Amino acid sequence: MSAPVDVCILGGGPAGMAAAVMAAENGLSVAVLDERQSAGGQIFHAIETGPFSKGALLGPDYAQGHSLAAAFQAENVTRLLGARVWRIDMTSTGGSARYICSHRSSQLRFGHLILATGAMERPLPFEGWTLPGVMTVGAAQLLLKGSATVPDGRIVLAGNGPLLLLFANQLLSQGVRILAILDTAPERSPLALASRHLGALFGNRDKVIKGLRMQARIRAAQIPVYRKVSDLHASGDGRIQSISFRVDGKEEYQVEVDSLLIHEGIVPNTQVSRALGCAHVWDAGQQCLRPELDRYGESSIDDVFIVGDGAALRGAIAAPASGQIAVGRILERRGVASPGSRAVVRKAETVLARERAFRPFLDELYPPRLATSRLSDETIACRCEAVPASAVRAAIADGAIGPAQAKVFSRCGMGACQGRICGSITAGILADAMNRAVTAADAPHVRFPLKPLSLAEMAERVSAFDKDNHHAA
Amino acid sequence: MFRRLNVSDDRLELEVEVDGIIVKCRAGDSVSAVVLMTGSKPYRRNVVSGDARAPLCMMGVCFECLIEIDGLPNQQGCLRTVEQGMRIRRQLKPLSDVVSGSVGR
Repeated sequence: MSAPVDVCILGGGPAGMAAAVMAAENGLSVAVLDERQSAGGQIFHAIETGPFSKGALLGPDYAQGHSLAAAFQAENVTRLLGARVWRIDMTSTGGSARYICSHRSSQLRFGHLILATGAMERPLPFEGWTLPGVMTVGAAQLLLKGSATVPDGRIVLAGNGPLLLLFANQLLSQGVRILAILDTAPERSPLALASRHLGALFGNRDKVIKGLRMQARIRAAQIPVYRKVSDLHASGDGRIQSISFRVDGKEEYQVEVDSLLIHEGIVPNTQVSRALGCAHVWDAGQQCLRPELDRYGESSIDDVFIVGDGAALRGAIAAPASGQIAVGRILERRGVASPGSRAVVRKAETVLARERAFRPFLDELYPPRLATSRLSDETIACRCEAVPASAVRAAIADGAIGPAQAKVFSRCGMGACQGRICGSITAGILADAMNRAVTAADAPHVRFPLKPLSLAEMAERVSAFDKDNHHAA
Repeated sequence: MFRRLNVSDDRLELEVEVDGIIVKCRAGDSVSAVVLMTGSKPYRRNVVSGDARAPLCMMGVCFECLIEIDGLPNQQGCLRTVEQGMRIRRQLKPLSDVVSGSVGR
């Protein structure tokens, strides 16, 4: 067992890196665990050594990750990369995390826990979404950033949101052709929307200009954009060959494609905070589950802080700020805050307030549409166990009144992803069947281990634990 | 159906084995990226339905990238980067074979 640290941070993205830097600068011992083998999170994936780590070929936003990663490298932080955290236990004086790194089981004790596990893309089920060739926009972007790999052939992007616009621009910059973009957002008037959010837009005019530029680039490339798209289906034998969809609920189109990239925004990744038992709420505005936090990011469990997009969707600029605010609180609690650390917190609070103000506009501009529409019976709800929506509905008809029963009756959620993908989908089916809105109670329970681990890995842990105890005795 | 983008890439070149075939790649490439670039064979098959599947999220959430690496099955290929000489095998057998024990060679 390694020596205890003051602060244990799960996730080496912008929020986790900034929190680590501030904690280390103020004399705390810090460990950062990330399941990837490099820091940066998803947004700055491969920022240090990837194919686009030099220069700004992927645009100025990605390049901004350099300074954060450099500061993170410079600080005295224990970096546990490629670490699979599978269990966390909290006690009255802190807690411990069990993880596997290079096939070896270890345990790390800590005083405070900061969850910076970020967001994931909103699960977006439709008929044919399990076919190879269907992938999320974020996944395709990670392939680009980490491995300079892009889909081949006829590419269609479907959904909506800033990431879809950004990735379309990045593909165009790399000379990759896009066959069409299917915008799933409902009819809305951007001007009327803007007039309701004038203050927030003025404070974030840099982002508005960026968004308009990205749209202009897509127009200039003369990519056909279909609007008000619904009823998306993918079909093919062994992989995607064609898609069909409706425009404005009427005209049906059929297009042959090689790759369909889907995206309707992101949602907090709450797997760890739910396993720990932190209180969560259903956020109707962002249509997602999120942890219930105080203004410093502390959860309903003492000394468990949640920062970045795992706390609430506020974006990559807000993420470091929320990490700093949480560390500021920890410094105060330990009685080691300084005028310098308080100044950092004040600045972070200003940044966070500005970023937070922009979200309602984005949420209204890009509402999830496919992800919230009623699934056909044939649509696969649980990819791991290949459970169609009809089976979940049958479970509900058989008396399942919540996610746990639906899971037991139908096996929906029993697979390797442990409900990460199908959890929100099952919640939607439950709410629809009972003719009510989704609530936090529709989220399935999450139990340890957080990631599948082999019996050998667990056995090693047990024997190592016995040895530790033997030495202690 | 993925391809390598034609960008100046000075990352270290290395070789891995995908289903016994030597494949050239670069340090930092994810295992999933390298497998996706090697031909049209399915990335994996779902153990329940036997359907062809491929990575969905590439960020450790969906578990559609599960693959055998250096003899260990069910590794998340999207989170692992390639190493010189790594032996990667697609998991293409249906559940019936897994249950009868023929998957472990």
